[in-house]
Amino acid sequence: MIRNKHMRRIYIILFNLMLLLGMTAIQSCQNDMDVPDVHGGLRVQLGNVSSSTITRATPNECGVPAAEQFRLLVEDVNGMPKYDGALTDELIPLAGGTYFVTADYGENPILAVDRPYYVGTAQVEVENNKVTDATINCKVGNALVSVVFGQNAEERARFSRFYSEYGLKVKVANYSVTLSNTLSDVSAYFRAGTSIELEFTGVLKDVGQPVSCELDLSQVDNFPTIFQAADHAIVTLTLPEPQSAMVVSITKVEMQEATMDETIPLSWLPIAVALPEHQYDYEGNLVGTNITFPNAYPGSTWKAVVTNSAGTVVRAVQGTGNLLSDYSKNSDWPYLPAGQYRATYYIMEDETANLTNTRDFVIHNPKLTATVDAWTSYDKYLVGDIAGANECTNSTAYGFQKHFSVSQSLYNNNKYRSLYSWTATVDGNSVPINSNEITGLSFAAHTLKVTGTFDGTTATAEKTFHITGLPYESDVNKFSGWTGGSWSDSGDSGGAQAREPGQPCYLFTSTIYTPKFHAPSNINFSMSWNEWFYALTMRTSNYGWVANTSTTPNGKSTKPSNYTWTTISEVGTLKASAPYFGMTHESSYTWGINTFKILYQ
Amino acid sequence: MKKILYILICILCLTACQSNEVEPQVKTGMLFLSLYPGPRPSVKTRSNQDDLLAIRITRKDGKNFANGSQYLEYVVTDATEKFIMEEGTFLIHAYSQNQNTWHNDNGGKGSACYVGDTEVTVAHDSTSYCIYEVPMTNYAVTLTLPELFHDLFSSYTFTVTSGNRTVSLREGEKAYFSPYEAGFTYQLSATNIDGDQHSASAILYTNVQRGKLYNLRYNFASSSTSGGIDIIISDDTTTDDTNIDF
Repeated sequence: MIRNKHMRRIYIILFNLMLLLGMTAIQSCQNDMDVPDVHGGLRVQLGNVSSSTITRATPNECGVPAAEQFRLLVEDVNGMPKYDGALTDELIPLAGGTYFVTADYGENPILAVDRPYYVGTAQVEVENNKVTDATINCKVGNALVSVVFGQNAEERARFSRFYSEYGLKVKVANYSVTLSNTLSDVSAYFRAGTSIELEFTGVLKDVGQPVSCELDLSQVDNFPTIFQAADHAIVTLTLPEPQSAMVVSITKVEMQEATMDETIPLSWLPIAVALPEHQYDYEGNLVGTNITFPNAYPGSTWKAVVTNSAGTVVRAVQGTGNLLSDYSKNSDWPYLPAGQYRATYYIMEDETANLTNTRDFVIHNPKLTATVDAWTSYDKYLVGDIAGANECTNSTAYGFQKHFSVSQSLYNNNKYRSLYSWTATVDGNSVPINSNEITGLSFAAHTLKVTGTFDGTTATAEKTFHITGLPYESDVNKFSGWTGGSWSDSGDSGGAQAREPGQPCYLFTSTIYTPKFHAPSNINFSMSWNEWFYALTMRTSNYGWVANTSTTPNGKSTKPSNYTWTTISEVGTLKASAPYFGMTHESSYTWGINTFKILYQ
Repeated sequence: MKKILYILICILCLTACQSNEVEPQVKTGMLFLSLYPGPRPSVKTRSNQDDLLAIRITRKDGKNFANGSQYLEYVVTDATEKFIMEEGTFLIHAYSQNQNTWHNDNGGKGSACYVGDTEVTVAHDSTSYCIYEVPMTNYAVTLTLPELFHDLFSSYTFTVTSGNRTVSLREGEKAYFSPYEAGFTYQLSATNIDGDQHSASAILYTNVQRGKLYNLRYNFASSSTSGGIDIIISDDTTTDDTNIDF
């Protein structure tokens, strides 16, 4: 409060200073009137410049405008400007008639921090060949909102205790500014006649978690739905007194498995059986099938012969004791497909084989796995290869690789080739299985799925990759996916005058939006484009980012000149929550851009 | 000249602020019990409620709570519950609700039992965090048989004995035992498809620890000692010596 009083005092002092300036101007006018003037005209002087608001930022930080900082606009009844320039105490030659005189300071932004706007108007009648004096009284022409965190020191300390940073976000339409706790004594200024929304934002100190809370202004008595000029709302935020709290997370410890291997003796097996077992190499690829024949005829030399369901002999082994038919020693049938088999057993007496038994058995399907991989510009970006990321095509997935755990020697074997097949899809749509690249993908997360089948066993693998849309370059011949304007291949040749004819560009009359990109997480980017604009009165025009889209910290930093192509560059963060850009111009009627690029940064 | 001064006092209820953001970091003067059921025992023949943990909160200084209660007791569910809390140091006793019945669960096979204690100090005007995993008090035994076992054997029995409890297990089932008994013995018996009955000797394992799952994994005896020669089979009829002639 002490500070406010102090400021108010300063304000009054400066207010008096302005009065003095005004009086000087009047005196000057009177002196000039002693000299006869052959031409009629208008002399303008600034009257009262008053601040009707307790603006905490003005005058200390904003500064009070001097008279010569005001702009003067004199228009006739048809709206044609007769004078548009700095406020002058010199005679403005005018023919007799009615004129509208406007003196203002500042740009009356849609929304900005500490940007008071002063304005005053008057209607004057000028007689031919006479000097007419006009005095313009100016006052604050926009409205403002300020914030106070806590009603006293204890409450203020509570904010910084729980939040590493916090502020009040003031929103006007799609624009917003945040009155942060780190910026003391600042206010958000906005145009008279607009309504605002307020949102508390903070970052929880313990966990770094951003939080936010919309303030329901409808519950506040007499809070203006629409602000008038010089309205000032001071919002005081308080936190309730916190109490002791604890968070308890109780979970069960998972059991740890301990494997204890035990053996079933071969003597337990039925007499004359075959134990088939598919074999895999050290990488897990299926390479063949072994069959163990437990000793059926101890003390004898015996032979086992295996036939498949077609009656074809696929394996035969002879010896004593336990017998093993090894896949690697059977080049013709290294792998035994799943199905019914019959083992026939013989006891050998010299060269004579005496049939003793047969045993039917089943060979089961193999166990197989599949893997798949592909990468995009976003993967390059994630590992820090920015140059590599920007060399990519923004709709392509590269390095499509798949693996199915069947050895090459098997699927290249004519005997097994028909057992083997592959398919690949992206989001359910088939893609070529043998291509290294997948092209034409939309800006989204995509699921690449491969399905391999061998001998009745199917294995699948999925890979999700992200097509962000970056690096992005707008189409040369059209801006597909953009909204808010239209494509012109000859510039804006309509309206009062032709501007940049033959320059293909995208034309806008209000707000434009880029296509929506896909940002799994925030992405640092650099952005550039060429633009021009046309406005009736403003010589320059700031472009601005639309709230709730991705914005850049340097936004509004440049002021391209009217009618002139200007190259603009920005860096910023493509936000995962709003991965696109909306831009607008403060004062332009028509706006055109081309050569729009966004690169990873 | 217009001068309007709006004083807007907003009491920020931070619960609303961050309801969609993050749960526990709230400074509302509430006790947030964010409790998760964690992995459930894989054998569930009892109701879900019985699988849930419970906690009992007492003051470490032995005093009663401000409301006169000696302790606060809650069943841990998926839901987040909010409680007013006073400052102090608290003992948290977490336990499954089958302390006295676990060995009879699942038809005598038993169930996992959990007990553990921790403490948390809650300071004035602040939030304390207590993340605790409750250990198992018993252990489990399970059985894995080789892939071809069921092609070659028509029946089997697998028994596990610890103390005075003997449990018969099928493949994949679990039986739970107390580590305070002197380990466990296990025994496999099987009848092959020829009708021959075989039984292994009972084996004693004593080095048991709570929280473990002992997986008895059976394989057939290694064929590495097999003799004999593979007789090359070929479809190529031009080479007599590779054909089989019986």
